[in-house]
Amino acid sequence: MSGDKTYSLSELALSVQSQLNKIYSGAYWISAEILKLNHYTQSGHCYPQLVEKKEGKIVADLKGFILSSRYKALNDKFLTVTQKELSDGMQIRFRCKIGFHPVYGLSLNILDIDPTHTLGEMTRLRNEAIAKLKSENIFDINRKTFLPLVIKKIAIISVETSKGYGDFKKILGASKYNSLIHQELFPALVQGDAAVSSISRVMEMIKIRKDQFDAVAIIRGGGGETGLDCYDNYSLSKLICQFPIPVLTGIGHSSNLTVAEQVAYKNLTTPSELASFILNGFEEFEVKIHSSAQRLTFIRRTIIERNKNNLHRLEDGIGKAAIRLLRNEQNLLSSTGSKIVYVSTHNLKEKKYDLTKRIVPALDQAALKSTDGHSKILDDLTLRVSMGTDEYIESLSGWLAHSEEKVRILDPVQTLKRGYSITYFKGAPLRKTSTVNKGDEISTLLSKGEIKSKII
Amino acid sequence: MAKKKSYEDLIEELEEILSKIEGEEIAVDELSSKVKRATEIIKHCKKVLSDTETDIEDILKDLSKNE
Repeated sequence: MSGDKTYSLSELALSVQSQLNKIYSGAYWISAEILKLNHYTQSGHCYPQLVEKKEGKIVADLKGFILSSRYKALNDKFLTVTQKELSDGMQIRFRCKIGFHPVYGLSLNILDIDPTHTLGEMTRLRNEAIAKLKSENIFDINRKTFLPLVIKKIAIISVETSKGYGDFKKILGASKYNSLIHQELFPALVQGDAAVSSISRVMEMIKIRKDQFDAVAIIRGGGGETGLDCYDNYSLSKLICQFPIPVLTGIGHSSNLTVAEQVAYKNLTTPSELASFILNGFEEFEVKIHSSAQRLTFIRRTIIERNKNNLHRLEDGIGKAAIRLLRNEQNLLSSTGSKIVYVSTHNLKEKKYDLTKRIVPALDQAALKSTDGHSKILDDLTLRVSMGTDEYIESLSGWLAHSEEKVRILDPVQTLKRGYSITYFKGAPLRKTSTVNKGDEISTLLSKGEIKSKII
Repeated sequence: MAKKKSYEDLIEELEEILSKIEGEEIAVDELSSKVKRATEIIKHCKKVLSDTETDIEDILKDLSKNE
């Protein structure tokens, strides 16, 4: 062993460097995740930790290097295309040369970055988050929570000093409804990678006090289009979906809607618009109140007036009807009175006439003829009685004679005398030949004598 | 005045009195008492209407004050 040649560390390092330079002389496109960007603002250089993960485990881990001047150019290009700055956790495709430094070791010198790859990756992640939320049937459930027309108690998630929150407060502050709105700020980072955990933490705090708020407003503004990928995060979006009260977003950007904005109860483009939305609720409510007041006035007018008119009609009607009834009664009374007077007078006149013209003369005459009349009537009666008796006796004698004749004619003896005979069979008069049979004995009664015979 | 009866009941009673007087179903002896009763009801109903109107006005005024 002691005979083996010993190299210095630098000799080895330089040898490795030389070999690597020979083998990896070109530049290569590599796909990796920036685990940590490690951008030093002072020097401007960037030393990203590049990894590849498989099932969550790091299977490759290499250092990267971006020169200060190149970093700025690459980051600007990246920002233009993806609306995002290079940051931790980002999947990138980059072109690099492999370098080896005896002191700093192996590193990938990044020459170019392909932003479209990251953009595609971001879209893929966003679509994945949406698909997952939909498959869990929670994508639109925050929109099913109840948002009152007048939002009076708002939990605000924002950065106290941010421009967006400033705009929001300014608009509400200038409104006449401001004193009616209770706002409580829950400070949190609202952009960048830390935003997911920061927003999630305050949302959990608000959830505990959910009964004290009508809605949650996530406000961000003035940060440009960068740092918004947190709003595509699945777990934050899920938290918004399942939040027990409405979540309103006003995160101020003009690019495609993030997942969080899509699942929120209501998304407003900017914090200012979110403030206006809240104020609109108050205005709309005020209009409704005015309209109700007008309707009440109308109801008052119509109902009260209608009842007044009805009452007036009844008052008038009852008065008139009562007077009419009284007049009718009076008329009836006076007409009955007149009738009584007329009838009485007329009757009196008739009685008087009867007395003077008919009864008195008749009485006079009757009185004069009284004696003569009575004797004549008696005579008449005597005559009528005697005449009647004679006629009666005569009629009775006639009837008796007629009856005797009828009895006589009907006697069978008289019939026999006229040559008729009566045949008896078994002691009873024989009326039909069918009553007797051959050999029967019959007897025939004549006017004088009897003949016995036998049927042959 | 029978306070227990509702406004509608009283109006119904008035209508009945009117109908009976119009139909001459009321005896002359009863007429003055019926008209007296009707007058009392009308007075009461007018008061109810006027009070209600005042109440509504007050409520509406109150509403506009709070705006």
